[in-house]
Amino acid sequence: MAQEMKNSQICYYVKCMAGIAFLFGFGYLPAIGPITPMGMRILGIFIGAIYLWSVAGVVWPALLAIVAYGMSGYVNMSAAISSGMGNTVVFQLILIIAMAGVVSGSGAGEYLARWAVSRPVFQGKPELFMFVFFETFLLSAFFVNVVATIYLSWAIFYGIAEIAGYKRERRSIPC
Amino acid sequence: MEAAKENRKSYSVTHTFNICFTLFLMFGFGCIVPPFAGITDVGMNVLGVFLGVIYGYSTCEIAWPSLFAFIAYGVSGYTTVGGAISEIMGQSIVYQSVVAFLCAGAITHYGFGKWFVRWSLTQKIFQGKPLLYIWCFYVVFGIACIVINQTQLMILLFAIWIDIADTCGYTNDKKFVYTGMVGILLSTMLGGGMIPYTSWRLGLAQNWGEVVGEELNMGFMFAMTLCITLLGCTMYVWAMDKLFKVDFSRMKAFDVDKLGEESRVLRPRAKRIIIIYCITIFMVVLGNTLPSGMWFRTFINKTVTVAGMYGICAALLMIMPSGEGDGKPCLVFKDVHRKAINWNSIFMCGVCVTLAGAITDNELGISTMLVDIFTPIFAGRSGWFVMVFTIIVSMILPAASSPAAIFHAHDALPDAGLRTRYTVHACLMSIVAAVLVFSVFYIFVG
Repeated sequence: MAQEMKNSQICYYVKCMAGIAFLFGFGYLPAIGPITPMGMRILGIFIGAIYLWSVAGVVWPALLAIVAYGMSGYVNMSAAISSGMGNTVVFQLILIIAMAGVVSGSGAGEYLARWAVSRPVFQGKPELFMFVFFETFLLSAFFVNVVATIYLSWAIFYGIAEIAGYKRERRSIPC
Repeated sequence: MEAAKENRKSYSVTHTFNICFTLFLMFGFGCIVPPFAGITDVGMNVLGVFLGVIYGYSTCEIAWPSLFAFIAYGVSGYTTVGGAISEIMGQSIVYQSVVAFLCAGAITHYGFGKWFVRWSLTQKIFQGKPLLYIWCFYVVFGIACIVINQTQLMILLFAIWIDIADTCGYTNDKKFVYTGMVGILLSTMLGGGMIPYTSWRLGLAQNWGEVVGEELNMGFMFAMTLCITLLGCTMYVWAMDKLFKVDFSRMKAFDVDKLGEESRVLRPRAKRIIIIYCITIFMVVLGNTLPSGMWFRTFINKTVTVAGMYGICAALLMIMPSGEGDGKPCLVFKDVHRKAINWNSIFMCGVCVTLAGAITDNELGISTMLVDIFTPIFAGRSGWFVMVFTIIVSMILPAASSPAAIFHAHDALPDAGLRTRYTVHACLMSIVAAVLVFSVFYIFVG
């Protein structure tokens, strides 16, 4: 067990090193085709960030990617931070996540879930309920905003799961 | 049901008025009040947003005035809403604050605070002497601000002070928490200004030298600012005891053995966090200290910058193994971020720094108005007047600076009245200290 854990940790750190090498070292490779040396650096940061998000984690690769972008020479550090943290999507996400938290924390998510589940048309028909649930939020995403809809639908879906007695580790719950 | 109805609380008239007035200043000031003293229409809008934000922060709270400020600044005509968001959230100080909160949160979350309290309080020199302990705390960390980034250190010290308060049983003692935090703000601000060889302070000192036509003697200036820091901290600690009547008896009688065995030694995780944090500080200090033109100095200050260095520090803490055999990194983001990251401070910081930058834009006419106001005030006045005036104005203006914003928006200091009261006292004490030291130097050195 200990050996297995050690191996998995070694594997994790090898992946981290590979990702960091992409972030900071890819730009030193000879430029391919029409890509400029600067383009190689930015491409390396992009690949490194995607790779690290997939295999290592979310927060530290994001922090490091901003630093790598600022050090790339394409922009300075202030501009890198500004275009990363100052992107409107970031602000939008902060507010949407806060709003989703309010929906679930205030009990509104559970209220909506109870109301939806208790409609006579869905009684004993979970498949139909899920179909309508997804279609409703599909339309909402179409007219409003995808990210906002995702977070709102999650808040309501957690309420449904709680009412129905599902635990978060079950496959039907998108943790 | 009846009892529940009776217990229901609604907003007071004053609170409702404050909300409405904040919104009026933000969105209506520029439309209703005619432009004056050369301020443009857009300048009036921006000034209204600035005044609204300050009023909202002082009378209501931090989060919602900040969010409205994003919109009000965006529709002021000075920029767009997208531009406002980008400017406010994209400030380097916002990123720097996020990583500083994370690092400071990690240091205290994993037991450094308790270890520090135990270690420092068991030193013979401090036993039964809480005032000496607090004085040394302020002076040592104040002087440390000469080389360590003031914002970073302040955030760390706030976390440590809250740990000290919890450990000694002062969790619900507002006086101890508030006065202690104000003392940290005071000492770090005084310490930060001790040697003007970094950032904007160097530029200000050089401009001042050019205006008065003399080369500034930095060593002499350091001697003066060191005296002001020592005197200011001493006066403040005296005031904590005699003026604010803070109860130090619990600290005096504190038995460190109550802390349990786990605080006797630092956990391997905390050790590693401290080592990485210290290496980061060392690199930043080295970058600032090396002669200009050296590659390393340019690399740290221009390429990576302080914000980037602390970003690397936080990232490293989230990569490095804890050393405790739990298969986790030193800093587990999920464990730390909820308690550590203070969004109020971050929003306030971004909004204040951005708006303060905007109102000094020459095109808006606000800075011209300020020059017109101040020129006759300074004309023909003595050095004393200029000094006192400059100190007072520089104490008011930093309300829009990042350390002050972080302080005023801190979760541990929700009572605006109490916070302001102690801060005003601290400001007065530093003015008195500055005037005294300046007078002594003026009389004896000339």
